[in-house]
Amino acid sequence: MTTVIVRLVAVASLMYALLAAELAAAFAFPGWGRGGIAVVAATMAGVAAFGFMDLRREGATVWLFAAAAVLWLTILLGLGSLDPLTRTLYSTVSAVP
Amino acid sequence: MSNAAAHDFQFASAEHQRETAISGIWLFLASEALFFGPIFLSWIYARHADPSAFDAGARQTDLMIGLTNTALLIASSFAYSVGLAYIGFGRRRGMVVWLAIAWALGAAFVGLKFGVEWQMDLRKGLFPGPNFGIHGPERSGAQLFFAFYFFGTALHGLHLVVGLGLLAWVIFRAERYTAERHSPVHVVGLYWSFVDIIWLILFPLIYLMGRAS
Amino acid sequence: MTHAPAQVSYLDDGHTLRSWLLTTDHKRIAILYIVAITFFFFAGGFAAFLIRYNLSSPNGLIGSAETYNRLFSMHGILMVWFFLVPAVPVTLGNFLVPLMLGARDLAFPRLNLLSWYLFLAAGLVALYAIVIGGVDTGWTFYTPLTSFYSKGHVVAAVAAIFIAGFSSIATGLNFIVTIHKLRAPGMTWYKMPVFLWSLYATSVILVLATPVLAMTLLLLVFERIFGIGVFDPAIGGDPLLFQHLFWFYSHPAVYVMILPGFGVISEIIPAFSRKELFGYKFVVWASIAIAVIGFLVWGHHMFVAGTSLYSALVFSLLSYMVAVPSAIKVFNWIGTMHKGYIRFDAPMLYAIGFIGLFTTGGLTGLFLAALAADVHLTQTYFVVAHFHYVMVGGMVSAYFAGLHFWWPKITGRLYPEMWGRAGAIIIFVGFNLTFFPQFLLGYLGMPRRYFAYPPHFEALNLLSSSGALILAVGYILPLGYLAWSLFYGERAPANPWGATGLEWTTPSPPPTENFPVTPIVTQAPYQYRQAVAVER
Repeated sequence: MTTVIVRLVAVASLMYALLAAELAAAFAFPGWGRGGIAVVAATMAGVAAFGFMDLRREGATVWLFAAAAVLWLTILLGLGSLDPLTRTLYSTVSAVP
Repeated sequence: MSNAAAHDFQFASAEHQRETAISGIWLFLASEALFFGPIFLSWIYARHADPSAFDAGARQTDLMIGLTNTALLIASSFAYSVGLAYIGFGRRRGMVVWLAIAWALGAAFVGLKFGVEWQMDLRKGLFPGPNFGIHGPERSGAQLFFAFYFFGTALHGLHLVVGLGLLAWVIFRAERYTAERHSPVHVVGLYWSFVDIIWLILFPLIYLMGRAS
Repeated sequence: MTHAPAQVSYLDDGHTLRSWLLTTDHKRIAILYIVAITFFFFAGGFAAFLIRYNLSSPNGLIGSAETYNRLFSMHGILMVWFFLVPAVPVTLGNFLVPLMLGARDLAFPRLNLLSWYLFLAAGLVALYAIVIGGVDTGWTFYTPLTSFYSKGHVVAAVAAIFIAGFSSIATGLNFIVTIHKLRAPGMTWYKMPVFLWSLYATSVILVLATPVLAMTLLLLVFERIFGIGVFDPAIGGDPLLFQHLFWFYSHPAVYVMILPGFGVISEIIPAFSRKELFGYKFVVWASIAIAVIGFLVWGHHMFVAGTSLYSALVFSLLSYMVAVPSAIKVFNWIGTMHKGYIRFDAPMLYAIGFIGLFTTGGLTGLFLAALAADVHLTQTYFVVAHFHYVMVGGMVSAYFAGLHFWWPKITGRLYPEMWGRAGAIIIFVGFNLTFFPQFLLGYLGMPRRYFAYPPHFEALNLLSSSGALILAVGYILPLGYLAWSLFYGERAPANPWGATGLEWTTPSPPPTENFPVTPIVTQAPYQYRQAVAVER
């Protein structure tokens, strides 16, 4: 029982440390850019999945489902943003004053 | 030796049924991840249209409330996991206490977000539309940000409120859970942590990306 | 105390309304669904009838252009979400998945019942939307027509689809978990019949694509209600974002519609060729490939919408790739038939018709995947003909094939074979007469979704509308003789076709809990060469 609680406290501490890192990435280290924030945020999501949802101890089926979620989100966000990011923008007159 | 009512008829054992339930919730959460996907994609499109105006809108959000809410949800996930650990050892009272703490932290988020933060945002005229409070060249991009903001936080909040309902349901049924049989506690916990993860993605999109110098 | 369920047939296990409306038996739920989707098939079909009636004259025969717009919108909405997407999965799938796996029910029987009630609720909302006037936006709901300008009942129609989406997700989730967790001892993945693999692939799409549609519809409703949102160009929003999100679901959705059909055909061809399925593993992995690659091609619906040339090129290339696994399947079905002992019962007639019609439809998709050709063909009747060839010539034929093939198992009755054959032939002839002229119309430049057209298109339109009358006869015929067979049909033995598969080892119809003793699987599927007796 104690080992479990200690592990959970470590996970929570790690999460708060990462939250601090995220703030640092936004305010203290502008050089990292928005990518730095994104990396930290993704790490936090991973820690939540492995630390709180205990993904590591689950079977192959669950891993397949979790991996599918990540892969398909990547497809949606990646292939989905391909169009706006590669459009040639022609300047227009703004209709809104 | 096996109790005939220990598992449903289509399963070979109680363990078989438990495993299947856990697989089921993970698959459901995969679909939920894709459910939130369009919100994230719309952030990409919206920001790309006019990044500086979009960020100007984002800087109108209240960073302290956002940060507090993030801290609350992390603590809530932690508390729930502790409660789950307790019932894993058959300690029902510890489970109830920690699940109640998780519930309170989640309720605090809801209160802060919709009772305080949204009220402030609306008073500042930040809901997109003809009465939008920001004027000038940044008006369009900022409205786009707040369209994303209000929609995204509403959907997340809705999931949180559903989660509060599920947590309450699990707490009220505490008597029937044992060390060997507490799948509902596990299943609801996975949902709760997932809603936390969604916030961990929304938080930087709302509060940090626009402020990164 | 052992679990000893009654061996009474599932149809006789309770005769009250309550025993049907509160059932968790996957077989009864399949029946409930058959009733529901048959209703929607004929509702959508009636709209089609009115469309073809209108188009039999160049000046239109039905009221106004506005009415016509509402007609083709409701036709599309009903046929896509209330017939084609659920069709095989919720009827044949619900009935057969546990039986083919050697299981006693699905993993989550109560979720299964909930999915039917969600479908019913969605259907009622859709009917309400129609009764109060419908929408004029097409089933594709493009913004800003839907978010700003349309005077139709967008929110009601969208609400119906939103609810139906949850029914889909529930069904898909149930199938995936069941296939992972409830296979009988000895049933390894590679011992599963292709029908199960097809439903697995279908379910992956249902679970991962449908939620995207749900959120997209919510974004649309937000924008319509508040007059502002992420699709609104006035504030820098992007109407194409709606199209990207909509088609991210709707393209994979067409594979939801066809994959179960592939599964049905893969069961029927070996049975009626008395031969093992040619290239089992290729067919299996082709199904998975279609489900995965199908998520990467949606941009081909948007080639002239204003997307970047670069993204259009990528989507065009990927669209050519997705055709390959389908082609592999067609070759494998033909390879199965080659040197087989062919029997031309109704299921096989439908299946052979499927191969021809689906291949035609699939090949014409390649015309549309080519950027340059698509500029000319897009938004014309060529597109309409293409998707009707795959979805109606293909999928509806496959649905009828499966319905006839498993009818004895589901109902315990044999349908009259001559009527079955007649129906299949009438449908094949009527279908081609209806839709082949539309390829020509599209190539000649007739736009789709137009209430009226220039007089020089009249002859082909008249031909198409006449074909539709024949097609209608072909669809109504089974309604008659299948219903007749329920009361007067010869009682069916356990395995009237001499087919392989665990479902044929149970009585026709099966008892409530399927298998008194959990079967142990030792054989690969489609072992037809080991003479399985044809009990007739």
